[in-house]
Amino acid sequence: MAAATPSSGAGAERDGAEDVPRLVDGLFRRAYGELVARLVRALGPTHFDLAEDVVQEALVRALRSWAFDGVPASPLAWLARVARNAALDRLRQGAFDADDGAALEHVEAAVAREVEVREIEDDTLRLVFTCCHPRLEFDDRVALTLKTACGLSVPEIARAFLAKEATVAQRLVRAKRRIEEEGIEFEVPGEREMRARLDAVLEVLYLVFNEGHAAHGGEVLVRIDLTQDAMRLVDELARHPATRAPRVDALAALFAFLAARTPARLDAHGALVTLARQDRSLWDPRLLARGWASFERSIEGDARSAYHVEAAIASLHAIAPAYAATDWRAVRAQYDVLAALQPSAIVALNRAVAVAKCDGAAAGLADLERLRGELASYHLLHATRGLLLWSLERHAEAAKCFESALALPCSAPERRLLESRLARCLAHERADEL
Amino acid sequence: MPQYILLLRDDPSTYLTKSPAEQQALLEKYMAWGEKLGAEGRLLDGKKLVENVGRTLSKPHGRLAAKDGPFGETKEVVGGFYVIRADDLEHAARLCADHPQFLTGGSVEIREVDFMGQPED
Repeated sequence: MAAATPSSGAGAERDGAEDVPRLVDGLFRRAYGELVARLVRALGPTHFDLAEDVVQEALVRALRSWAFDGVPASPLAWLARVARNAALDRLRQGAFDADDGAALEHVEAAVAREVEVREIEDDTLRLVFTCCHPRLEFDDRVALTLKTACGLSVPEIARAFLAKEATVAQRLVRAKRRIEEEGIEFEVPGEREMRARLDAVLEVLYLVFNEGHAAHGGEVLVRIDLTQDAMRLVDELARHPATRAPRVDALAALFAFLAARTPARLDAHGALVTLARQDRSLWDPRLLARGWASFERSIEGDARSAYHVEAAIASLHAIAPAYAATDWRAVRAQYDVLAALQPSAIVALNRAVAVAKCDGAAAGLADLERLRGELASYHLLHATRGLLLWSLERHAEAAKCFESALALPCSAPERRLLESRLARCLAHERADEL
Repeated sequence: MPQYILLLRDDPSTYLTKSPAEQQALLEKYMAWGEKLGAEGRLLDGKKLVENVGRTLSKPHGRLAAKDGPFGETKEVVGGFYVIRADDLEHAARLCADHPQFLTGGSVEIREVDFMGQPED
């Protein structure tokens, strides 16, 4: 047992701790997508559920046995072997029940071919394109990609979509049923097909980045593994001759501008620091530079996508030397453009913040009133209303909003900030800046 | 120093609903716990037990009876064990207090090894 005997083993000249193999960030997520894809290719689309089940089973077995025995030398090969054996066990059982030896032989050969025990390559992007099949409905595609290629759980996808878990589960079932019924090949598309699927892929990357940048639950605010995945993939798209396009550069710019703020978003105690209070000298200069470079490429040509507008808004924050120096009128103007391109309650919520900064808290509140129905289960609506009411010294109403926000799912650092605001608001302290 | 055996009980199905990233995070917590005790020289052994394989023997009315499997009537099964060194039971309990097993609703039973007055180790 590796963990129990740190001083044993061949590496006596090294520190004991280094002898214990570490887990690569995102290993389970990538392994999940890759192994499901290989099994679906080998077994055919009718066995999508089986593929997912056995890969999940392999991960659970890894969790339970590596905890005691340490990580094997080749973790991915270990997972591939366990998943493959579990798949074959189930198929053998099925063939035995159906008394169909010939079918089994065929399947065993296919599985052996696809799921040979080898290290997994990093080909998430290929998988994303595979899942974004045009015969699937848009929302179903996105859900399937997030589940399969990005390894997000149903609750995580539901949060990213602001949808109910049951709805997401239903989308996944529907996507898989269609794959099964129409015999959709789970194959890597060619270059022309890649161009046709580009928008669905960008949408997926946007959601992945978003879930990473503001994790909607759990202990951490930022899931670097997800933001880095999304950034790496969008950069690949921006370079690939089949997928290069101004809107890809715009999305890359948006990601870079937002990711640059990461070092300033938590203080030394792990407390959340809002944009208003961030120490901008902590913003990552390399990522800002990357953002500007992508942003410049994105405005070549005259195409203008929602990603362009969002990148423009992020650039307005990136260029402001301090929060107080933000050009809020320009920000509001960009939100007007965005609302025209892509009307949504979330865009309206963000626009209301800009309105409050331009015309005062009361004006912002009036805009938020209209969103209370649609965004009732979104914690940031209540948190934003709370801040505006607090700044107007309507303490009791503000406290109620913070309480509503706290009753909804959000990450632990967000929760602590809301709790602190609630307490300070009830003590009639000065309001935090919006 | 006294030795304790820690019996880890949990319901394996609780892990099936977690996302791959959540599973990996949990595994990393298990590994960190084991490494911490290992670095202090307190961890003597630890093993995962094979799932769904086992047998309970008894001899009611003088005839050997065997019951297979762990262990139908309860969802919680012993998934693994550790053997650790600790000053006393309280200390052992403190060492277990942050074990990730509790994050998924599992339990840890702590039992002292009885050396019957013989030298330990």
